[in-house]
Amino acid sequence: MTDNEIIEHLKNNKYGKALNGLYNLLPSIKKYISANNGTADDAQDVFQDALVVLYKKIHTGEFNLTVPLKTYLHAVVKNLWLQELRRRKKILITDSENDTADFAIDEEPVFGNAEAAFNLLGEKCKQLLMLFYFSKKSFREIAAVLAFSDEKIAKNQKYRCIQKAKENYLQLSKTSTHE
Amino acid sequence: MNNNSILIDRYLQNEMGADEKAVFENQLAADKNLLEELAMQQQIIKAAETAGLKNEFAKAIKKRIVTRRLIKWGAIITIAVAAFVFYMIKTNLFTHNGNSEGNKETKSFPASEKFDINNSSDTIIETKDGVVFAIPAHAFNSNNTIQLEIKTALNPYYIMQNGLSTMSNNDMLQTAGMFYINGYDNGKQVLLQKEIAVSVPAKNINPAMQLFDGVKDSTGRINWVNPKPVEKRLRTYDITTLDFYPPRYIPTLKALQKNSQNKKYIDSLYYSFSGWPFFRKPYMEVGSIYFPENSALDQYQKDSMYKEQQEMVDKYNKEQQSHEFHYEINPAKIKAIWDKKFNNTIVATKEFEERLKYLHSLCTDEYLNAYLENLNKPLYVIDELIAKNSYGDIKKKFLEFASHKHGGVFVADALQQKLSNYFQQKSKAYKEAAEKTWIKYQAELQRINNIANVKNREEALRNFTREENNFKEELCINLTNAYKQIGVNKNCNDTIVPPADKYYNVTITTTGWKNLDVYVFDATKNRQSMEYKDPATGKTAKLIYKEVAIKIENEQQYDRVLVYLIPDGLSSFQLMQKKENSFKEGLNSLFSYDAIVLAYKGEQVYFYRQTSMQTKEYTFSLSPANEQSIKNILQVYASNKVKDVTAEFEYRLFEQKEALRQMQLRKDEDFREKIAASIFNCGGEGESPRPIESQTK
Repeated sequence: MTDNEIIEHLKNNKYGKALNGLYNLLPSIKKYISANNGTADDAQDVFQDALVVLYKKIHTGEFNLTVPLKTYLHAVVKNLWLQELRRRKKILITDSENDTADFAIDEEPVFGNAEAAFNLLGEKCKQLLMLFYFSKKSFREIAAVLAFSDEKIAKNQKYRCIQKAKENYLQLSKTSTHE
Repeated sequence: MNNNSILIDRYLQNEMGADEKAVFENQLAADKNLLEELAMQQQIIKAAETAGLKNEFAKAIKKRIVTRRLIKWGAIITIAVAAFVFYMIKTNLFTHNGNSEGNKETKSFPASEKFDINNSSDTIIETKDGVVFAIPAHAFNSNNTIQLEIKTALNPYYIMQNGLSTMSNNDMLQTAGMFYINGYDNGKQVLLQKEIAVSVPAKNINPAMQLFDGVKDSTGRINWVNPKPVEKRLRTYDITTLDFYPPRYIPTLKALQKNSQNKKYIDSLYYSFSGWPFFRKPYMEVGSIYFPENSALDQYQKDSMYKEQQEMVDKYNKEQQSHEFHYEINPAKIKAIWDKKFNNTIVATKEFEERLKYLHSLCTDEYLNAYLENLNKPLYVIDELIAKNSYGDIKKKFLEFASHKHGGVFVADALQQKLSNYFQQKSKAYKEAAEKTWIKYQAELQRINNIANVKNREEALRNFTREENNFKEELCINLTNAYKQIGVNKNCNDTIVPPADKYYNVTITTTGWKNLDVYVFDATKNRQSMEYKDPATGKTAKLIYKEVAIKIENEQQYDRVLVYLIPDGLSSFQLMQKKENSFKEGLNSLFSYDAIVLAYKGEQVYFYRQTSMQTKEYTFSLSPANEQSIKNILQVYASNKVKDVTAEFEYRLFEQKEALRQMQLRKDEDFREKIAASIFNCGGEGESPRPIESQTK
């Protein structure tokens, strides 16, 4: 599968198909992460985040591939992992190669307080918000899937979840300013 | 901030009308905080979208890790819940082309799990998701090893994201998970010919959940059809560990401080109410009345006693008829089912126990019978049946029971019949045995009561005779003495003792004497002194009665105290009357008196004897004594006195025993009344419900 085919699949939201062409990246990412204080789970997580970054780039239309896709993703992974390690305060990258210098990668953290605030939500809230905002499901469908007795309750629950996420966000901002 | 979340969301979702939007945008322009909040909310929404996206990649990666090939779906069966489910496998309902990869409807399902099972034995398998399949021997139409293919999808988000439809004829279903199962014999699909029990794990059980079959419609989506209620298979317990008593029975026993731990006792007490008189017809019969051999009663008295008793029995029976309790659950029925024979039936379940508590509060056993006659049906089916045939609160309650969808316990028809017969026979036998016991007990009570009645009457007769004789004798002696004082020699036999009511009608033949007779009569009757001056002779006749008072030390400690005077001049004794707090009587100065005190406390007799009483105040301190020694002491008196006093003593002994017996009886009856009230609820008061059958008509 060529890089362009993969990008085309991602443009068309065909995640599984796209992944068929990218899956073989995972072992090398695992190797890199485990060499830098990470676990296999971290590797998978960072890989997913990298795919999200790629997907978003593609969908914002700003994406111009100047290097092979694999190289690009590797660079994104390294960048993300660096951010993560900074967050964990263990900045120690044993990497002799410097292939990230070949092109620019946004230094702005892709996953900030909002994502952290979201991740602090309960599983049901997360699912509800994902179903609504990402999957664009109706409240009726959401109520059925998440076992709310009716749409209205699902709708009210959504507001409650947003509210909770905002509170988490404010809490997180507070702690980061205190640092 | 609360309201802002909604406003902001509506704004971001473009749900506001133009006017509202303009107002809100003005607000945003003016309020920096609101603007910040809007930005924050936008970020949160973005985070949700990112998370959703990430989740997609996670799934895709996971899928790659788990399986490298696409699964061909043969059929999918979803259940909308989790519990114990029977279902039939439908084959070839839903086939997907493996090449239509872009269609995310099916491709992301978890890998199928494969199991090789021996078709000739019972097999239980558990999937990685924790779904348990109980496959009976020969469930599949094959003699060989069966390759079982099972797929499960329990996570709602998973189901949704994989586009697995939860539509049923355009209605949205709430799902508790889906599963798929198929069996193959060397790659060839085999038919399912027996029911497989499936348990799907669930956090909370929603009783409204149903099992649907998945059918692929023309557009390739699965439509869920043919819903069947998901019943909860019931777990049976050792029946002897369940509680089938009426709910108020044990608490009442506890309140009465009876041993509520002794199962044998509480069982036998409860079952003894199987023969509670309310169930009995005829209620009571007049027994033959026992008369002692030398009974002093004449035929007329005996006849009137019999008549009186007949009236009493009629009255009793009439009262009882208005208190018919036979609508209630007879304890004999409970005894019949509370038996190990009913282990492994719906009776031996907590769910039945719960229902029985309610059934006990109803004024009929029809509902109980409905369960017992349908042991091979699921509880909720019987609940529904009863609800259909009842009304009001009862209907509501049984509908509520039915809504729990409590299932059944497999009982073979033959066994159901056997148990039903067993129940009928046993409950009848227990009921009859208890009734027999009750009748026997009542007959014995009746016999004892009859004896007591006869003895009471005889005592009354004896007392009457004795008092009459005493009076006659004392009057005679007083008259003789009084006449002697006025110088007339007169035997009392010469005088016709005037019966009081006839006296004034007697023709007076001689003056004077009659006057004296009247004075003496009044004095004797009132036990008061008199003085009579004979107008003819001028002589004075005096009769002197002086009062003696006897107090008994600690009198209140005895159940009963009787003080007798034994005058030397009379052939019998006198019973002293109690006035205020002492026994008082006028003593005739012509006689010498002994006093005998007999007191009874429980079964113990206390005795005191005082010879040659003075007219003063005594206080006697009694001592315990046995029956025989008292009888021996009484032998000092003349033979006819001995006879009377002994008869009196024996009667009083009997009376005391009878009083104790009555007391115990009342206590027993009181106790049994209280217990009965805790077992039976309806009394004769409540409205008798119509039996189920008549309601259906």
